[in-house]
Order: sequence, then structure tokens, then C-alpha cells
Amino acid sequence: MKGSFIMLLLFLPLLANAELVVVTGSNTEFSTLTETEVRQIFSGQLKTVGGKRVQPLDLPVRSKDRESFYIKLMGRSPEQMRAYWTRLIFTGQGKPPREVSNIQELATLINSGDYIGYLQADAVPDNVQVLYRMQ
Amino acid sequence: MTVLYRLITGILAASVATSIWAEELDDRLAQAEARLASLEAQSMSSEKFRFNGFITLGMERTNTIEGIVVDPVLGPVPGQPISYGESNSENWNLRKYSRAGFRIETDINERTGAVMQILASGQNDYDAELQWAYLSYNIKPELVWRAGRLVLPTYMHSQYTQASYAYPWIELPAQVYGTLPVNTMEGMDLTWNFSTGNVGHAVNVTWGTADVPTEVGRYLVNNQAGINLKSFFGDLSTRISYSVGETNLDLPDLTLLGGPDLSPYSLDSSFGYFASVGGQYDNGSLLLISELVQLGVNAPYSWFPKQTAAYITAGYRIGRLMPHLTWSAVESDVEDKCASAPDAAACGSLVSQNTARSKSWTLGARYDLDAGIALKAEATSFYDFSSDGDANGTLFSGLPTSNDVVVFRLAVDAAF
Repeated sequence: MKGSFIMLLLFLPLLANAELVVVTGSNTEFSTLTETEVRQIFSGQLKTVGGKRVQPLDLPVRSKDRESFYIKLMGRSPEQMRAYWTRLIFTGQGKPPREVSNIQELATLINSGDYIGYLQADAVPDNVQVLYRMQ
Repeated sequence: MTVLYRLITGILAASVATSIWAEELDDRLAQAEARLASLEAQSMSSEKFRFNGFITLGMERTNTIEGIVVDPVLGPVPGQPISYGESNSENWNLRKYSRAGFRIETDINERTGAVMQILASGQNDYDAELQWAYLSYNIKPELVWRAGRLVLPTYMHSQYTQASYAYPWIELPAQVYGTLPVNTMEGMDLTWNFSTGNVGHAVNVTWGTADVPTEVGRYLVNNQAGINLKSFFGDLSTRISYSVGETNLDLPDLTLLGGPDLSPYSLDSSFGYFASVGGQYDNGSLLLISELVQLGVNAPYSWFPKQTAAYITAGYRIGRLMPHLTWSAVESDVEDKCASAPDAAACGSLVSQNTARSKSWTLGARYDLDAGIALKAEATSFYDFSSDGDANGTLFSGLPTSNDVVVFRLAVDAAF
């Protein structure tokens, strides 16, 4: 009993840092993305996959998942991503990912358009497909 | 006993009813939430305008600098106080870097968008100026055509020089960014995004007319045509650009005012070019930026020397703080043919005024106070101004002769 409690304590940091997955709508034609493609889509450099337009979605600005997504994917903090997007906005060569207010909105959007989002692996709704799992 | 039995069954019945009612409520709530989410999605997808802006409050002063000022009557006078632009050692100059900008974007239809950006800068008494006003049309998702008033894509950072939140310094490396004033043009451009394997590219071609007001007169560049290629590979990005134009500048005849006749030196559709290569590496902690530029104009009697300028910056992020160090230099290639000019002295004065030579070290730091707001401080030490006694007045009001020529800057930047 005491042992399993200690085990639980040991695994708590892992539980708090749940796996993130990149998702899209269930009727999207492509089914996987490479890490490079994910990085390029979420930094506004890649606008099409297999000839189809793709648009990234962001979780709310204070979301811990959003922070860990960019730190894991690009090694950048939210402040650094903001400076990056400032450059692109005022260059007229891109707009930052559209921000959703919750997971339901994310699921609704990715099934209604050419959107791509990210969320925790254990929170993936039924009607979306996983394109990439963060290592 | 019966009372107790009744009480218990009553409580049980009530709790069952409550749980059924609670389930119903949950279902209804879930439905309502889903409806709300889809409504939100709809209202957001039809968001009419996108607004972005930036604000900078910056200040600058210098240490006490002495140097040679060329007086129109007395000639070169040594031991004069020298200022850096409008900044001197007496007071903090709060106007030079202070500015605010506002950008409105809208989608006219699925493929067409419109952008307007207004800038009010302290240098210009906060008179609002329309910096950008263009229409963009997505021929394909990866191919965009823009037409209207655009900022010339001369340098790596030229598209957002005013949004200083986007870069580490307060002043962009002056020797490089002072070579050719960053300005707008009326014209059009075409941008094509494509990738070759893991490398992403954006090639941009521009054409238009640039009209630059300068101290000596109106500098007009017709048929300004340029091409630039940006490439991205992981943390590394590179940029290469080349542009040409027909430059026009009317110089006055000052003989009635007791001066020289400068009109033979006017530019009349003279060929001019601007070339630059640059690179940036940013892995989230380490930041390296470098640019090399060259400006050449075929001026009569070669009074405009070819200018070559470069800088290299290294920064390292420690949490929210990023200290950075920059080395920057400009050199002019003087090959004047003033000996054969109608007025060799006048020609020489033009050469002298347009000869730029200096080097500098800048040590600075940026602190990201919170998302969207940054504090900055930096000090630039200039040296190696002139090899042959030219006036070299491109950055300073004269030729500094003090041993220490240091400029200090502080700023707060926001982008929203």
C-alpha cells in the first residue's frame, strides 16, 4: 500500500504532463503529419498539405497545454511565439493560429473546415482523427 | 418503525428522482454547450476585422562627444559638440524611438483581403501616416498577389522596423539600416510559398515606385523591381534579396545664394541597386542574426560612393532575459571622378557628405515582462569613423574625435 502510494507520487509529474496529439476532422484526406510539417504549419510556413489548405488552431492563451505544445515542438515560450507572430503579422505574411475557447469549439471547428488543432491524448473526442503524437 | 421506513423510502425515492433529473440536466447542458460552441465557431469564423497594434516608448542620450563640424563659411571647425541624430549628452531624447502603430485587416471574400496600417511616430510629431494600404488576393493558397502601398522589402527586418517588439534591439543596427531609408512604395508584389523537402521557401517579387523625401530633395525611384528569397530549415532561416531602380534626385543651383551649382550632379534615371544577404538562427535559447548589404548608384562623377554595411548579433535567453551583443560596420568605396567635374570642390563636398564609415559594438538586454510587453536597454560604442578626414555626417552631426563615443538607450515595447 505504502509502495503504490510512492509509485503514484513518482508518476504524478508524468500524469500532469499528459501526451499531446495533433488532430483534424474525421473527413480530412490525409491521415498523418511529420514533425517538420507540424512545426511548419504551426509557425505559418506551410499552408497546404497534399494540395489542401490547412489552418492551425490554438488553445486559450493561459492554457498549460498550449505552453507545453510550443515548448516541446519548437523550444519556444509563449512570449517568444508572440514576438515571432508580431514579425509575421506586421510583415503581412501570416496571421497567428485562430484561438479556440475550449475543446468542444476545437472539435466543432476541425470538423467544419480545414483546421488542425492539438489537445491531450486522453481528451480526444470520437469524431476527430489523430495526425501526429508528440514524442 | 413505520415512520422511519417511510422516511427512508421517501429519501430513496427523492434521491432517485434527483439523479434522473440531474442526468437530464447534464444532457441538456451538454446540448446547450455544443450549440453554444458551434455558434461561437460561426461567429468567430465570420469575424469581420482583425486589429493589431504596437507601442514603443524609447529614450536616448549620448556621452559628451566632441568633433569636427564643417561650417559653410569657416570650413572644418574642431572641438565642436557632436550629436547622434537629434540626441545629445544634455537630455534624454524621448521622441526618436517613441511611436505607435495600428493595423486593420479584413477578408473581403474567401480569397481577397485588405490591410491598412497607420503609424504615428515621435520623430514625425505623431502625425499619423498611412504606412501600408493594400489588397491581397490568394491566386492559390500558396500564391499571393498584393497591390497598393507596401513597405519595400529591402532588409531582413524592414517589414516591421516600427514594431520593435519583434526584434531584440531598440535601434536596428544603424550602419546597415541607415544605408537606404526604409520606405514605402506604391506598387505590387507576388509571394509564392513552396517547400523542397524539409526546407520551406517564400519567393517574393516586387515592382513599383518609391518616393523618398530627403534633406537634399525628393528622391524618386521609378521601376523599382526586386526579388527576394527566404528559406526556413528548422531553427535556421536565410534571406537573399536584390533590387534595382531608376533613381531621380534634383539637386539645386545655389549660385544665387553664394553657394555652388549642384545641378550637374542631379540624378536622372540613374541606375541604382541594393543587394542583401542575411541569416538568422534561433533555437529558442541562442539567437544569431547577421546581414550584409550593399548600395550602389551610378551618380554623375561618381559622387555617391558605393556603401557596404554589415552586422552580426548574438543573444542568449536566460528565462525572460536576453542579453545580446552586436558588431556593426559601414564602409564606403570612394572612387570619385571629381577632378573632371565642373566644380571639383562642390563635387567633393557631395562625396564627403555621402561617405559613411564607422564601426560599433552594442551591448544590450531585453526582458520580457509578460506576453506582449518587453523592456530593453542598450549601449552602443562607435569607433573608426574616417580614414581621410571626410565629413562623414551620416550618423552624427559631424566627425567625432572624442575617444569614447557612446549612445545609451532605454525602451518599453508592446505588441497586441
